[in-house]
Amino acid sequence: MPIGDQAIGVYFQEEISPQVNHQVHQLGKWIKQQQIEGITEVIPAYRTLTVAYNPFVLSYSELVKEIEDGSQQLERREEKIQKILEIPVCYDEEYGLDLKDLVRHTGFSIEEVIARHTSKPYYIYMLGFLPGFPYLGGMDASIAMPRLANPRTQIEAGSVGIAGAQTGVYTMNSPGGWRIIGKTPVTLFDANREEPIPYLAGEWIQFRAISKKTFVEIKEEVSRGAYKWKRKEIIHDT
Amino acid sequence: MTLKVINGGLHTTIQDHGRIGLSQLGFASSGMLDIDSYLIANWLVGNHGEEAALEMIGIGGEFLFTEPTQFSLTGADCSPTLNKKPIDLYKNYQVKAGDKLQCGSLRDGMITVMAIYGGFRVDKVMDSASTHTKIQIGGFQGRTLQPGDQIPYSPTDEHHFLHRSLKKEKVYPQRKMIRVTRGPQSSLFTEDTIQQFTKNNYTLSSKFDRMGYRFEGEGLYQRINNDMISEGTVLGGIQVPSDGQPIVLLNDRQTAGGYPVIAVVTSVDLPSLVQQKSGSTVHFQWVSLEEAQQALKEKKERMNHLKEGIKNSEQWQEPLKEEKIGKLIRAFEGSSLKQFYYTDDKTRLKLVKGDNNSDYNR
Repeated sequence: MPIGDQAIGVYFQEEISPQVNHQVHQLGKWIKQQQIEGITEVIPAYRTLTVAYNPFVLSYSELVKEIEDGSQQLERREEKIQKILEIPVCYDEEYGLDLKDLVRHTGFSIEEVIARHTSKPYYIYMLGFLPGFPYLGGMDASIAMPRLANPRTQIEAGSVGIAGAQTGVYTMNSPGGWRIIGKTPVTLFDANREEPIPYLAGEWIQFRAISKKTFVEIKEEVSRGAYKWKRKEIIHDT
Repeated sequence: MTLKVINGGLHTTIQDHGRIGLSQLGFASSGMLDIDSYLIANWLVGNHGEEAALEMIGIGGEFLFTEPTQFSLTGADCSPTLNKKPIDLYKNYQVKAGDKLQCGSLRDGMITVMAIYGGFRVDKVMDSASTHTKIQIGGFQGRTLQPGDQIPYSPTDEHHFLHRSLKKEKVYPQRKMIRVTRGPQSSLFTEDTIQQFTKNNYTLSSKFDRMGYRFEGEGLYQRINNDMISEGTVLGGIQVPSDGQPIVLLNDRQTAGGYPVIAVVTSVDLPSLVQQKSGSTVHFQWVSLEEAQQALKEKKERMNHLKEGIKNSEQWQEPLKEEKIGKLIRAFEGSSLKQFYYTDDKTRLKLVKGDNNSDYNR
């Protein structure tokens, strides 16, 4: 479907699920691999892939044909690699401004909240809102809590929050209404870094609880440029 | 080697074509809102068109040149003066160290572009000099210009100055009829609402910035369905939130949005749309994808033509020098021509063979 005179929208099944979103990223990746001249942006979202193009280089019908070819190829590709990036988080009340409220709201202990929040990797559906802000899926519904009625005017970069059944991490200072439960010492967004954002949509994030002491140590490593990302790849046979 | 900012104006930033290919990471492109004025301003100072320039919104700034160079202003009329003397837009000016450019409130539009020979020399962030003030990257320290800022540029060789100018009426049409194509969620609106969107006028409210322009008019409420899952946004997409008032998404927009997009402004009319003033009224008009792309193609041809015209205007606008006239006379004498006329702003030349009556005046 055309979206204006320089973009096409590819729409998949109308639902938010890792299965549908996986198809979006597969097609997005395939299009990028083809290095088709004239494509300027490939933007994956929950169930859509928006492809922007230069109509002086590539016509609408040519692009539609490329995308149709790609969609057919994908049906045959089934290998699944799960890329997981570990993000250390200090769930201390100093950083977790709303941790007490969450404890009250859920009836769990702080330890239980942390255990549930770090129990499994979260799937990155898409990036947006802020540069690199991950829209994550898969959080344990028992630690869900509505947004703040009055959003804060400033939330610090690195803050990890909960909004309803969603969880996410602020990649830069921003106003926001998420319930803040902790903070990561790592810098997720740095425009001057070769890789400004260390993950892509379609990959996974695993939060790991760290102490205040470790928080300070990692922060220091980050400032020296010595911090190494902890990544893991799991190959699933189907 | 800097442009000193005495007064930054209302919202002045360094912009270029923008950051392309990063939307998937959550970055909108940024870049000049009025791309036509940007290109023309650069061409007028002899640049290719990709050089970083200033975008002034609403009220222009005041600047001091510390090295000789040349500059041009395009877009909305900001009543500019150079050393307190009024100057024109769509014309290049040579300046020396100590010259002062002052711009005031913009009269017939929202944006004035100032280009300088060689472009402003700021560090590129992710391949672009464009400022994105919301995420504080690019341009000059990721923000609007403030008094005391010094923006680097390269000095020009004064001997290579060539006059170039254009008639503004030709290149600043400011359409009030803004052509749009159907948006991806237009089917969520009732047919009545779709009709209403192009029947009524919409007025640009005071809520506008580089993320989007908010228009006011007959509310676009009637929906068949309200449900929508957030998806990627495009430049010129017209979102309709629950209050029914359309918002045109622009260069610093968020890369994902969850409001239904009723229409998308055609690329060809985006410069006209962004040049509307707060309080001015536009009319939207449905066109097909083919019509939109055809109009864009025609515009590109016009712009290419214009670029050539600016290049060619170099010789014709430069006063003829004695040696050039001598060359012309010799060429005329060696040719089979009987008569030869040449005129421009500064020179009138008439050469006639056989009666020794060649003359010229300047």
